[in-house]
Amino acid sequence: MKTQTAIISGLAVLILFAAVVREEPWLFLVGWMPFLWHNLQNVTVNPVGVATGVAAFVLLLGMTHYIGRWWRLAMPSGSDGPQRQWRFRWSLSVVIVVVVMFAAGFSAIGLARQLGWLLSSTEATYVERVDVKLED
Amino acid sequence: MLKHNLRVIRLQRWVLCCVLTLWPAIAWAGMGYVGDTEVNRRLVLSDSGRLRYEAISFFVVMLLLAALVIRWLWNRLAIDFTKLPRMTFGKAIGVVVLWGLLFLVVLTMIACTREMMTPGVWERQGLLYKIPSDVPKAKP
Repeated sequence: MKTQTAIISGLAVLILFAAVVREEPWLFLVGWMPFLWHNLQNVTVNPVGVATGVAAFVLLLGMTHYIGRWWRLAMPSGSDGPQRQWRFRWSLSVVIVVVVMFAAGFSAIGLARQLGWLLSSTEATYVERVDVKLED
Repeated sequence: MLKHNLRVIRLQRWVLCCVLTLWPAIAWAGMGYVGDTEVNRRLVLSDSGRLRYEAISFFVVMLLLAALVIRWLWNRLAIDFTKLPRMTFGKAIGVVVLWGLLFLVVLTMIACTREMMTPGVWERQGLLYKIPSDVPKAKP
């Protein structure tokens, strides 16, 4: 645990130090905030889509709970004890895990796409900036 | 009275001319020159490059948040299901990254299948198939 903390602290210090010199580490750390700010302003809410999503979530939750209860009753009682009930929060946890895992999958795809574009895009990633200091 | 006023006005004009003539000033002339030592050239991110980095930062944060949520839910379930091992944050990141790679593989397979099933994209050449040269490349 101490080694992990030291590695994470060292990396954080290194990134912060690099952020003083270059823009990229700073953008890597806090770039998600302007990204959210720009994109949330362009978000439009489709009521039909929201209703469909909520209905699908409730249906998935109900079916998961139903199958969980059946599974718990069908399983022989083992080391978990004689209690053979399936709790609702277990169903909720399973459904949220599925939703979050899909969000993580989309994030991984987005990350791969952005990295691919960054490496292979014909648009210039860097431009030359000329600072001229005029003397009297 | 009118004569006196005219005299005062003339005197004022005369004083004004004298003041303007004697007022010191610097005359600027010629073309400006900027020496090499005064120019600082450096590479900075373009607008599109900055947007790319911001998007990468967002997706990395999303992956880390997903790992946090997965670890929290898993460890809550592990209280009731004693056979489940406890999950650390590092292992949660591993699970999330592995799942993301699975997504990438599946979507790449879907994209390849779509490309293969598009009529006219592939031409048979002997035993193998090749992409004809006149097919326009897909825009990224």
